[in-house]
Amino acid sequence: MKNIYIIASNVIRDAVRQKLFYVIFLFAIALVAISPMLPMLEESLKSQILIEVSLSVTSLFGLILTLALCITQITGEVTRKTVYNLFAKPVSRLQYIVGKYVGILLALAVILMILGLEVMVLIVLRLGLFSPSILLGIFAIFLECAVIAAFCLLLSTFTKPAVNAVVTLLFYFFCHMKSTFLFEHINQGGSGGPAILYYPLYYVLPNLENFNVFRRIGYGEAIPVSLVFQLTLYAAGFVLLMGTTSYLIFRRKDL
Amino acid sequence: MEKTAIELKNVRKTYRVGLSREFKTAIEELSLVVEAGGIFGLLGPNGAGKTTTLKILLGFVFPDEGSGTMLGRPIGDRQAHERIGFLPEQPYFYNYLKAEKALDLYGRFFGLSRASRKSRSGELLDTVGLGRNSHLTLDKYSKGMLQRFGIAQALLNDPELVIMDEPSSGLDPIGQKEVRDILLRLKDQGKTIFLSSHQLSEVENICDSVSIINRGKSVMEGNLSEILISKDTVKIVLQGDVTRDMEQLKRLSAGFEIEGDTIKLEARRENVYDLLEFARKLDMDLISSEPFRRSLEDIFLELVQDTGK
Repeated sequence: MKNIYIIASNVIRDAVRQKLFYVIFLFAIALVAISPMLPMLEESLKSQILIEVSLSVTSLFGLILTLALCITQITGEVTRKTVYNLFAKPVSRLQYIVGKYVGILLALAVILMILGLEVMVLIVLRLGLFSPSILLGIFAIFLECAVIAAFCLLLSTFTKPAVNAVVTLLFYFFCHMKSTFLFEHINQGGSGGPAILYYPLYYVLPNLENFNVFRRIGYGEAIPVSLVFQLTLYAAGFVLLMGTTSYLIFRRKDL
Repeated sequence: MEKTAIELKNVRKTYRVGLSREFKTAIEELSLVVEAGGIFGLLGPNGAGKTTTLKILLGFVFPDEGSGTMLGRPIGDRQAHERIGFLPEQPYFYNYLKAEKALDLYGRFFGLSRASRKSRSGELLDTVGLGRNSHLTLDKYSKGMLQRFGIAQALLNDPELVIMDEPSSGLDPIGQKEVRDILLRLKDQGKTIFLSSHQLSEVENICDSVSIINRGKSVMEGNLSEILISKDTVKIVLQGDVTRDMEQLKRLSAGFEIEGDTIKLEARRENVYDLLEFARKLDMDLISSEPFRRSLEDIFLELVQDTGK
């Protein structure tokens, strides 16, 4: 545990050094940019649209942040050879992978929490509406980012950062299209070349749309605790699967 | 403490060449024994497999065949890593950290308390001559300073075994001398030092035993003084009238050199008594007689050329 904590805290230190926390200020600017469209909306739709759009923007920032935190995390250290000094110490490869992932999650949690508070403040200021359910939306974004981070970290054990970024973005889009494009294609009995690709994608990829609870929060619907629990388990299952695969790849990798 | 610090048995390592099916052999049937205490030098030309050997020992790469132990534990074992220090070739660190912070970070992996990390870091940075630069981030350090820092971090846990890949790389002559002194001090403290180096004079000056590898194979291994001292040749220095007939002396000598009234000879052991008898007949004085000592460079070049570079 000690080594995992040391590695995780170093990931956060690195995130601070890379000025990733500046995203908080960029996000505030993005939110201010959304505000002028409010007067154009009907009064009854204002809160609904503002919450939904703000959470969607937060989700986008979450994706960018996850990519920035993950793509060079392991490949970068192997290329720069800084891993030699770590693995010459009593640090196992499992501790290294887990430490990196925990550090990424902690950095994401802190930044997303601040972004969530910014959204809440915006809604209070613009509409005079205090909506704590926004934090549930932020938690769903965090879970989605946790899944993307696990995938990105898995790729980081064997690919270069540019390839990692492209494949992770494809992963993100396919996972969001699972309940629409992929589902429709499979149910229409698609065959031929693409079907070979679509079937495994449909059954293997997580459905990231499950984490999209923004509309429900916008409409003021209550999010049941059971759903939060299910989403957490859903994300944890994929994280565990991808984390285990990362370790199996990295365990015997020549550095 | 274990009698044997490092042991490798029939280790073989190949690398795939790019994406092809071709494999390059980095290490072939390499066996190595490093006794505890003393300084062991691993020598070899570029591409001989020195760095791969170190990487195998530290668990950075995995051998295709063979096995090994380090401080009595299987190679790559974390418990052994509690008791070792490592200086990589061209050391890379988290360059956004200040030297003292970086040492603090590495010290935490060994479970050192905050107070002992602080005192040990200060002490080591002073030892390697970086005491006044401890507040600088490592990206401000020159190559030589990074090398010194690398030595400091390798000694952080007061290791029993120190593994160093080219410890004098990037250092000026003063720095090289300081590193040599540090290594000798560690040896006096009973530590084992395993170093790979290109600098044959450095190895000759400080190592107790060496292994010379070429093309991934060990071509010579043993105690350095036994390797350097020739059992067959004796170096003799005579003094006297050099204008007399020296033909008989020349015939019995492997090497013959006149400097003023002094004659320096190299003779095969079986010819020594005949040669001294003849020198006595010429009224020459025997100044010295000692086993002939070859330079490590001569032996190294001979072995590397013999085994085909």
